Amino acid sequence: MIRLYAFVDGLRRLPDGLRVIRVEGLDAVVGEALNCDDQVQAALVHGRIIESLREHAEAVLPVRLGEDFADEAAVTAAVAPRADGLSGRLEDVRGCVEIGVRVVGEVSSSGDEPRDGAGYMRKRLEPFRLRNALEESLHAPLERRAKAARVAPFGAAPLILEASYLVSAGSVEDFADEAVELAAAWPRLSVTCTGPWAPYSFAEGED
Amino acid sequence: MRDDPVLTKLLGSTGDLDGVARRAGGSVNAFPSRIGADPETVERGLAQLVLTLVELLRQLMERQALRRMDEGVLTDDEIDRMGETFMKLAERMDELKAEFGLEDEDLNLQLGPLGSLL
Repeated sequence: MIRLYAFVDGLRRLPDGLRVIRVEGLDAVVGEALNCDDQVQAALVHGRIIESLREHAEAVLPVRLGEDFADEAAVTAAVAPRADGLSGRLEDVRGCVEIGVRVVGEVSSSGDEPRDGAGYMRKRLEPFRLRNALEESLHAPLERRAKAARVAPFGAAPLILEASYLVSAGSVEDFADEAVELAAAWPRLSVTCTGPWAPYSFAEGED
Repeated sequence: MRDDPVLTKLLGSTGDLDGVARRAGGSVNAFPSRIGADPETVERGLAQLVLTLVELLRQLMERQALRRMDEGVLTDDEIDRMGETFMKLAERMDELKAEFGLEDEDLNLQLGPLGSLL
């Protein structure tokens, strides 16, 4: 079995153990599929390979974990019908990386369990409003600075907001600085900015 | 934490870093899972998938109700009735999670190597 890791363009160095299959002008990076029962380890290996490709390519479009094929012909058969769309997406992320922003915190509200429906709704309203405020004051300015953005529809407490931004590789530091500056307005919350990542959240194109 | 890709990718942060580290550890454990075909685990796997979808719908409906409540278009009676419904649904979800040995973090659909549904 071989595993498909990513589509790339302008690859300067191929990490050990990988090879490139050319399908309709598109470079697909594959390697032997690791038989690993530990999904966390499998995910970390997958992530490291894609990050390594990001460091050595002008454009990289990550493929989700576990896309395994019997042989190169099977990869070609699967990729060929989608080659045009994939090439377009690869172009969209050229020269860009993904930056992640996560906001975590305890929302202060009465610790008492609500006794009735109205109490339940009042208790839920505060985190709802907090998230809306964060979307306006933190996410919106960062979205304007980014080439594209994705915000997770929900956050399970204590996660309040999680968003990904596609930014030019050359502007990572400036973007992170702005994120930290904006986060300073929320001293009770923990805001982290991570990256640069391969554009995982943007591999599927616009919704 | 040596292998944690989140901590080695930290560009900046504010607030409680210990809390961030705890969350980062959790994120690694939340990488994609699949439904096992083993008969002993398939029931739990299917329950996990179904409850995840129910949880998604519950959150969507609750969010919509909160939006309408925040806009002031719901009467007190409507708020109370909706809240009662969501509260009972949340309680029932807790019971089902306990029955199948699932935690909150299990009720999540991974949409990509680093993305998640909830």
